[in-house]
Amino acid sequence: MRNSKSLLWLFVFAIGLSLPTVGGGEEAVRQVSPLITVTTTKSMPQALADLKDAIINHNYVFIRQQDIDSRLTDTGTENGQVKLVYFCKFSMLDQALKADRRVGVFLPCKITLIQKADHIEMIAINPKAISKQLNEEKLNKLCERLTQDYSDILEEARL
Amino acid sequence: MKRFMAWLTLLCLISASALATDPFLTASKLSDYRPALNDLSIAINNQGYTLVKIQPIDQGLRRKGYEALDYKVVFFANRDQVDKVLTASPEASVVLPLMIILYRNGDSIVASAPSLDRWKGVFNKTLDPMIDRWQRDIAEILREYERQPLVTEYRVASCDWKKGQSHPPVPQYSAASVSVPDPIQAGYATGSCTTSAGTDSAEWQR
Repeated sequence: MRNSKSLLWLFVFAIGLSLPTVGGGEEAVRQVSPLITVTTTKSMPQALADLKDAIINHNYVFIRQQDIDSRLTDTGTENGQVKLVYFCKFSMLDQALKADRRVGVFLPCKITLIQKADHIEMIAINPKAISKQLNEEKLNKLCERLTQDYSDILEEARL
Repeated sequence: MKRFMAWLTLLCLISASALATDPFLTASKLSDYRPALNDLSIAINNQGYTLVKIQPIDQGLRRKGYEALDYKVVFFANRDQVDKVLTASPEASVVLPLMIILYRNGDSIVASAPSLDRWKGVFNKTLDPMIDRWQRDIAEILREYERQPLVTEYRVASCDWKKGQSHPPVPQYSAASVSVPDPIQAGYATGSCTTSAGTDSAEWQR
């Protein structure tokens, strides 16, 4: 009987141990919004032009712009409603890769522009939400900075 | 009772470790970088996806004066899936095109992709099965990448025979005579076309 009680306590203890493993990490990630989103009533060409200016103003290098279905369909027949803008800051990239080589999964930086009926949504994946998964202290700091830069660039492009 | 509790405890611990999912799907193999990139491109293609872009992170860094080992981001997508995403929840296009990073780690070339599970429930719920499918497809791509060497069947698309020669009958060839010059041109290769009439350059198609 005593052994059964001990085992019961062991079971309760094991459940207790497992909860932070199963739910804690998820919860920590969910506390940070996975997306950074702003909206603007500008036209798509204007929003793209202003976004590129904002990227350069924040000392990032514009890399390329493409349609969501680029290379999946013939040139000139792309959807046109969803555009992707890629950019990078090489010094930050170098630091990030030295901290964790897997950081490439959110490189180069990307902002997605989606044409809605009367406005455009500009969305970025929140680097802070991803860095929580990587669990790398140096990377957390970089991602916090990157999140701030994303927010600033999006805000400047929106105005 | 004692035995039952012991089993229950063990079961609980096993479930806990299984549920704590790895944020990355990863595969690696001993290889040179270029063949590994080719293998990854072929595996992506075989899974029904189109290679959209190979982002040479390493070249970009080197051009800016930084030291960098081989490191590229391979983007890929499927047209039908993109259409479905745009219809169901355009916001979900932030995760597209899908990506796998390919980098050197010592003598190994590592292919790694972020787990997409965390996106389930973020967008329109009808896309959750699509996210599951992406996850399965990426896992399969990485499994195929890891299996080496990949054997690819090619057929002759055209033979560039010298003027004055009649076009030969069905050419005899071996896979060893074919090389893939660039994964961006996935599906095509150059090599030699050998028949009883002689050998000449040819273009091959997978």
